[in-house]
Amino acid sequence: MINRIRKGVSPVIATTIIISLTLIVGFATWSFVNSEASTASTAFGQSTASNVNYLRERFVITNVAFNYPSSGNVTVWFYNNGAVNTKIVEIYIGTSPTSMTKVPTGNFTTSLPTLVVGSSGYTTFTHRTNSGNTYYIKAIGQFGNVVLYYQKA
Amino acid sequence: MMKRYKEWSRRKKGVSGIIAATFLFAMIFTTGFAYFMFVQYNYQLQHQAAIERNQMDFEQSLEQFEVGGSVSNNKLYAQVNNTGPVAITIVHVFFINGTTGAFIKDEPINPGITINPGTKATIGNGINYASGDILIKVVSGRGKVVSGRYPLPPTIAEFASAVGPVLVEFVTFKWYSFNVTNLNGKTLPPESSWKSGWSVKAGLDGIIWRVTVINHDLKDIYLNKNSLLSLIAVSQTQPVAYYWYIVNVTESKIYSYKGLGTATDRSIKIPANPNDPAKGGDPITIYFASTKGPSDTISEKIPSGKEGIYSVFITLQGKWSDGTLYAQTLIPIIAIEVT
Repeated sequence: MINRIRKGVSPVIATTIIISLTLIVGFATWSFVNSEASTASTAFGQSTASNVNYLRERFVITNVAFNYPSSGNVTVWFYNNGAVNTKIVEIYIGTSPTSMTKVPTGNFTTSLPTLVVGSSGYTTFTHRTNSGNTYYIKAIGQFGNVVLYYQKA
Repeated sequence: MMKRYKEWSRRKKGVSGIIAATFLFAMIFTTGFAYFMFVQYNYQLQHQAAIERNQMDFEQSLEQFEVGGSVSNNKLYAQVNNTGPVAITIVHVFFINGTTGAFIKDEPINPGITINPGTKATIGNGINYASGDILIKVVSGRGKVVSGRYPLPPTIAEFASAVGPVLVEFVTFKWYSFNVTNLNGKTLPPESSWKSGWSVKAGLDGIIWRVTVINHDLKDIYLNKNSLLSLIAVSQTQPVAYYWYIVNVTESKIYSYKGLGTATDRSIKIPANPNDPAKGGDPITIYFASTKGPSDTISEKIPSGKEGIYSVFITLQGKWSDGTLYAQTLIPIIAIEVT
């Protein structure tokens, strides 16, 4: 009887091993869950921030002047009527809302504006326009809002 | 010894359970609860942002204002009249050539000018102005863009008040020849048979004329039997005039008209639109086909040999709905050529 007991580990050691294993597995599980939760939180937070910024970003194209300030130029004015500062990242122009082309970066003679809440801004780019034609202009904001405007040249 | 070992063994199971419960508790109330609170907070942020955006859209939809211009010391200023229920703030003004569309000037208004409901304000430093049509565009703080013109074209109501309450629709002036003189009971021809009023052939019998009119006054008008259409020659050596009196058309058939211009004797009514006089009342088509005089249906011809250019006058007579007398010669609506 005594011999059989001596072949195994003592109850104290066994208990220590079990507790150690429990602690290790427990910490590992907790760390894994914590890490996953942190990753998910970060992704969700970024998604939320993106959605919130999209909802708070609002701007309008207030006017377009063709051949201004000089022939072959187009000047577009914006106004930020939203709740977050933004900037215009892309502008498209064309003679119909379904066929507009992106204005190349190199065509801007005045850079795309950053719009503080409640303020106006403008940009100028070179583009050949024909008098009498109606031009559609699409502006895309930093947070994804799209504004479409049209005016006769 | 065995007994003591068994007792110790039973107690040992409780320790693991407590540790496991501690970890479970820690996971739920640190990681899980924190994650739950974070998600809730973010949903609240999104919800709040959506509410704010809807609120901004709603407030913008409440803005109503009219834009015009006012000239002082040879400078043209934007003038904004707040006709809506909420105060507005003007933040930007544009001046554009109303004829060519050429950009003239823009002026950011900083700080913005607030205009309370029911009041108007002159905005900005203006532009030098001598003459010409200017398009003025104004931007509000909520992002609404409204434009107006200077000088304003005359409105229909102003035009009507200058030339008379009843205006004609030019394109509706047409004629048709029945080739018989007595038109009593004759059915009106189909629309495609009516001919443009620009020219008419001499020698055609049984001519009936028609024109559509609109009343831009606040009161209805009832026409009497003396209303007539006259052709006055402008290219004859001797004064020549021909007349066609008003006839009654009921269910597309022509009858003599004996109306006295009152609401009670079934006189032809030109209705007003008191709610929108600029738009006017419902258009009414009136017919002229009696050359013998009022209350007849004999329609004679313009004789051969009297070809030339004629001015067309329509003289309407009758009473207003309040019983006072009404008479108006519609402006020479057209000149026709008799060939």
